Amino acid sequence: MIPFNFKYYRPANIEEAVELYQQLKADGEKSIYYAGGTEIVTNARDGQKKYDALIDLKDINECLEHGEKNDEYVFGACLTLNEIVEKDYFPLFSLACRPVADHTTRNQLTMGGNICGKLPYREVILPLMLVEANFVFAGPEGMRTVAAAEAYDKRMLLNEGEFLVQVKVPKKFAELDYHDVRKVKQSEVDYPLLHLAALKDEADQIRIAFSSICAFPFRLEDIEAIFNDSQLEMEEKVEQIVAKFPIPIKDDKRGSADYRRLLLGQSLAEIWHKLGGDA
Amino acid sequence: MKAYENISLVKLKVNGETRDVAIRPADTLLRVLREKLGLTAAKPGCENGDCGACTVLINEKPVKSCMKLAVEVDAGAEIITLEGIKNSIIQETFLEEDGFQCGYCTPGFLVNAYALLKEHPDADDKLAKEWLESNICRCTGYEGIRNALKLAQEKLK
Amino acid sequence: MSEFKQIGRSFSRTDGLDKVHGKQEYVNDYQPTGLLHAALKISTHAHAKIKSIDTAEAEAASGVQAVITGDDFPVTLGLYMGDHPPLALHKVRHYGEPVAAVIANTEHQAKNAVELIKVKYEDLEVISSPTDGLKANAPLLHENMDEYTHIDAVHPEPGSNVANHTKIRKGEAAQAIADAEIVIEDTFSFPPCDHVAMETRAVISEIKANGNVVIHSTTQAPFTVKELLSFNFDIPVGKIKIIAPPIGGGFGGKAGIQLEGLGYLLTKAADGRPVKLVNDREEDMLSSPGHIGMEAKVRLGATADGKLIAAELDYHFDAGAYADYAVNVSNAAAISCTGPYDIPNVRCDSLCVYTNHPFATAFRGFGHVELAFPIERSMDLLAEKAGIDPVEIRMKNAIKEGDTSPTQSLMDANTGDLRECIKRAAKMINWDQGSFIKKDENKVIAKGFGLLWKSPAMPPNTGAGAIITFNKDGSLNLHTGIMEIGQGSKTGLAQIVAERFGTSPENIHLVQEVNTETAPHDWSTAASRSLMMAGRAALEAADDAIDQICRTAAIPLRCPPEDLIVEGGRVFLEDEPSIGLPLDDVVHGYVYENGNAIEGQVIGRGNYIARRLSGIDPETGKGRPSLEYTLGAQAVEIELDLNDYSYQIKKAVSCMDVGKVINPNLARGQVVGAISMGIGLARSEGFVFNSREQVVNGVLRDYKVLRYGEEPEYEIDFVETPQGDGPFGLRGLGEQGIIGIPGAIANALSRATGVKLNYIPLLPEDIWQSVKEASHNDSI
Ligand SMILES: Cc1cc2nc3c(=O)[nH]c(=O)nc-3n(C[C@H](O)[C@H](O)[C@H](O)COP(=O)(O)OP(=O)(O)OC[C@H]3O[C@@H](n4cnc5c(N)ncnc54)[C@H](O)[C@@H]3O)c2cc1C
Ligand code: FES
Ligand code: FES
Repeated sequence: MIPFNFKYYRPANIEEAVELYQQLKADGEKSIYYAGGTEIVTNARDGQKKYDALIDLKDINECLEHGEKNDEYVFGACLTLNEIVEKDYFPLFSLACRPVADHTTRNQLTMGGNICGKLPYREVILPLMLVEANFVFAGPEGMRTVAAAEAYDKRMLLNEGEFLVQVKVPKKFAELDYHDVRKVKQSEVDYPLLHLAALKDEADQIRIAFSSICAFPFRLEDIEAIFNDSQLEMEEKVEQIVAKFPIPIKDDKRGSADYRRLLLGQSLAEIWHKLGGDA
Repeated sequence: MKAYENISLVKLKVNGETRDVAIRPADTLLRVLREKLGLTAAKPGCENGDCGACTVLINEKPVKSCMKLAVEVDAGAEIITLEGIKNSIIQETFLEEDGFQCGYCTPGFLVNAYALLKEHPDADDKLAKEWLESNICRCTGYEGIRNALKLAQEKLK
Repeated sequence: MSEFKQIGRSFSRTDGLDKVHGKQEYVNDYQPTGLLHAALKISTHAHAKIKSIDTAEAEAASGVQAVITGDDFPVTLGLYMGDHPPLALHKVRHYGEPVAAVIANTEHQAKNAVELIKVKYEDLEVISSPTDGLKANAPLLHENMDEYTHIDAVHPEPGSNVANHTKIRKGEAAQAIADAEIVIEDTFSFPPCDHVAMETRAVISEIKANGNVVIHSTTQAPFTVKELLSFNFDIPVGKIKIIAPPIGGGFGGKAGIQLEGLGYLLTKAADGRPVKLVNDREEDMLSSPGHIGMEAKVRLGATADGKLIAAELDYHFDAGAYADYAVNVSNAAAISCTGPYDIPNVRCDSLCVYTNHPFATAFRGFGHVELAFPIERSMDLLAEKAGIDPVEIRMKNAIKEGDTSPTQSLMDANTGDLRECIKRAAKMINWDQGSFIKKDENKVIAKGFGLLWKSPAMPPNTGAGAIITFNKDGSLNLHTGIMEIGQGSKTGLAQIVAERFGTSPENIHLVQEVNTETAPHDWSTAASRSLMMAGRAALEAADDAIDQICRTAAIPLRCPPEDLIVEGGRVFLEDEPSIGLPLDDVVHGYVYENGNAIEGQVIGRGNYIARRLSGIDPETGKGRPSLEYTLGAQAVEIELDLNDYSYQIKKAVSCMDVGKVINPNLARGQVVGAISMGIGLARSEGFVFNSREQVVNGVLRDYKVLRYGEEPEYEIDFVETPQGDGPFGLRGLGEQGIIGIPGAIANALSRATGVKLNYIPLLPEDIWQSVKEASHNDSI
């Protein structure tokens, strides 16, 4: 039961969506892009977050694209996580999507919503940080394609009125070895204590992206350099990696920083073991 | 562009019938089914996406209707609630194997299990868990539900 | 071959078809015309003075009919103790406490208006645990405790935070402990949590023009509601009608009085128009009551070979802000304080302590699951200290006929065979193959045991009734006051009556909904007593109806009525079955060919009242409060990962002596369901509080219950030592399956880690912390 009222629009294409946002803004209305709704509807229920209008992106063809183009896979922002898992173009991506929420919810929950949402987890972005993905944004200035490093820093770097249209992933990455570790407090259907995605690149270097261990997902070259340093023992690596974290390890009702630190060490060792390290 | 700015008249295709109904854009599908169409099988258990008691099928896929706005399924999507599923094998086996006690979670569980059997009639334990862990049952300890699913799979062979 | 035709058969549930077709209606599915909707403003503070409540803006909001606060109806209600205002009065005592209510034309208008209510609080010092509440300088939660009305069986201590104190004094416990060769002493705890019945509580209330109050409620206890409403609001009891359709799970949480008092005030404020109030999930967890918390100190004394001689038990219950059922939960825990063990010397002080937590009500296991946790952990600690196998030490001390209970009442010839239960449980869990197995470098498998006993905690004069009426085709209608809460009692009752009538349960039509205007009085569908007590009443009603049928049939059949029997839809001469009549010729009076009619319709009536029960002595606890004891043994097998301390419960087994199994599938379902709740308590369920005693996990996203695929393999068995006074010899079994499980799981995990785990829930991180602390202590 959502107590307050809002307007709901379903633009048929990118231009309509962008213009509508601008129009509503000019009219002094607070609007928000809408995809799966799993975050928006549940947050609206307690009346804490209020909007004047929702702009649903699910009729926009580009946002629903799911296929191969030249040497890239294209993932529309409004694909549900189950659609991504079922087509399974890019196994590491599927692996990162699959444990999010629960199966029924994943019939609704979209890739774009997860990445652009306000929650700290945003697990689905992990593989995209590892593979030089390109993000396609649409906004009042038109469309722009942005490399992962520029598209994301602590959050998606969307300008006011912009939305995510799709993500493109170079196909070559689908061939590489990968591993995914997700640890929970107790129940599997839960936000994670940590979620790591890793991939061994063509130069045999392991790339790692981190979610849920800190307040936002991240990937850092410094960390990978330490991780791939074969001179270091695993415990030393973990020590040094933690020192490089952009912010302290999270300490909340799901788990203490100490326990997360323990799980991190075990997860990194597991990744090293699975991906063969320098062996 | 479709626009719903106020109380709006929508056409919902539910259980094979098209129903005209006036709703607020902020009304969830769960509330519209229950309060406007009298289809009370889908239940509120949390209205937060956590329990699955509100599960219905939208274009054959299980969806939690407490998180779906009714305007989203105007004029198009095929909605099936438990009222629209009659005498299916999984209902039969829920009876035979005691897949329920208080019955409150049952409509959501049944709809989800029905969709699972349709899409993956020979789902293994792992896949069944992946689907059915979307729903909470507080009474049965899941034994009866698991057995009902297994028996339905056998009967479908 | 069984001597019975219907008893012991897994007859399908009578409510099944409706439930699997979505046709079962629950309270929230009703939408009477002219319905108004209410929504609650709840407290964000755990303990605070209410400085002011500004309702002006809410009152002016669209669709709003009325806004009420505690000041509008300054009453206090309560089940056993009148300590609870339906809307907070002057201060709030727990996070989530309702402070105001809005009545509006639609639910969203009501909810919208709630947000416009402004409440100013002034924080007060919080009580965060029983220990806290018992401190000499603790703030008083209920300053006016001495003014509260309460029933005699409750012993509050005004001037403190103790809402009830139950004492058990059997033998000379302190002396016996001093003499004991082995003594163990330890402390145990668990936080409050919630029932999480899938259906949240709901009420629709209305006052008719003639002043009659009609309430549809999600209740396990429609008659209790009716009587308490009458008592608290001074309404003649006959003018109150409670309509209770089947509920979506109770587990004790819908016993007693819940939203009905507030529901009455809402309709009163709305000029008697029907008003619906439905808890949302968060309100159901925080504003309405849940499961009690506990801090326990146990001291057991035994001989060198492990025979128990004494127990000193301090049970400090975390009742939360209001007494509700908690005062009787703590009482029940005292009455059964030792668990199913023969202990000659016992001292127990069971205190029900007010804290600033959401308050507690009845919960499956009622005092017994609570006491079983410290007791079963202690039995393992004792076994370890004595160097005796945990199963053997339980065998040695298991209670049996001829022993006495903590209230010094004799365990009579109806005492179940606990040793047989232990034997079977040990076999099912393969105890002899080892209770600790190292699977590999990182994984261990461990097993844990837990015994259980349970008696219904109910007033000594508790009764039940049954009425049988007939349809023109000779089929029966069975009316009882028993609620269908998922347990399938009505199906069991149908089987009992069918057995007597020599017919199939299909011919017994059950009145599913309870309407207090027409149903025979019943205390409450709680305490696992439904089938036993209503079963007795139903049997008596069946016998009464059969007598009447035979009397009527004897006239045209020209025979003595005692030569007739009823079976298969006929009444006939026992020694010459061809001479008889179909029931439909008799049950509405026999009609001769010429039109003359005799005798008229058959109405069978039956009742049952608990026999020879008494309250307990306030100083010693001596008395006979227990209708019967169901005894049993349970065990689990867990697999623990030694890296991150995550674990899985692989198998759970249970064997209980239930006297007689009426319906094997339903009985199994009850036990399995109860076990899964016990696993929930042990594994993850518990409120987490911050320093201001706000609950930080009061939503299902964060409060984790067991899900599909997390359940163990279950193995269930029953022993059938008849209960002499139970119908067909049966005893209660609905709650019992939960009782031994938390202790069994904690025992298994303690064994797996080699560390004492004396708390639940056992989250992997907490286990890790305990292991770390233990190794730290070892190294000092
Ligand atoms: C039961 C349940 C369990 C959950 N479990 C998890 C979990 O395990 N892990 C986890 O990470 N999350 C979890 N979530 C949270 C969930 O991830 C978010 O709610 C979800 O990712 C949002 O996706 P959506 O498509 O439903 O987005 P919406 O609710 O539609 O939108 C979410 C936000 O993203 C913005 N947005 C959506 N699409 C776009 C776009 N294309 N461009 C720009 N902005 C956009 C919206 O404006 C909004 O701010 C859970 C949610 C539920 C209900
Ligand atoms: S009511 Fe929709 S998931 Fe609980
Ligand atoms: S049958 Fe009661 S919640 Fe599942």
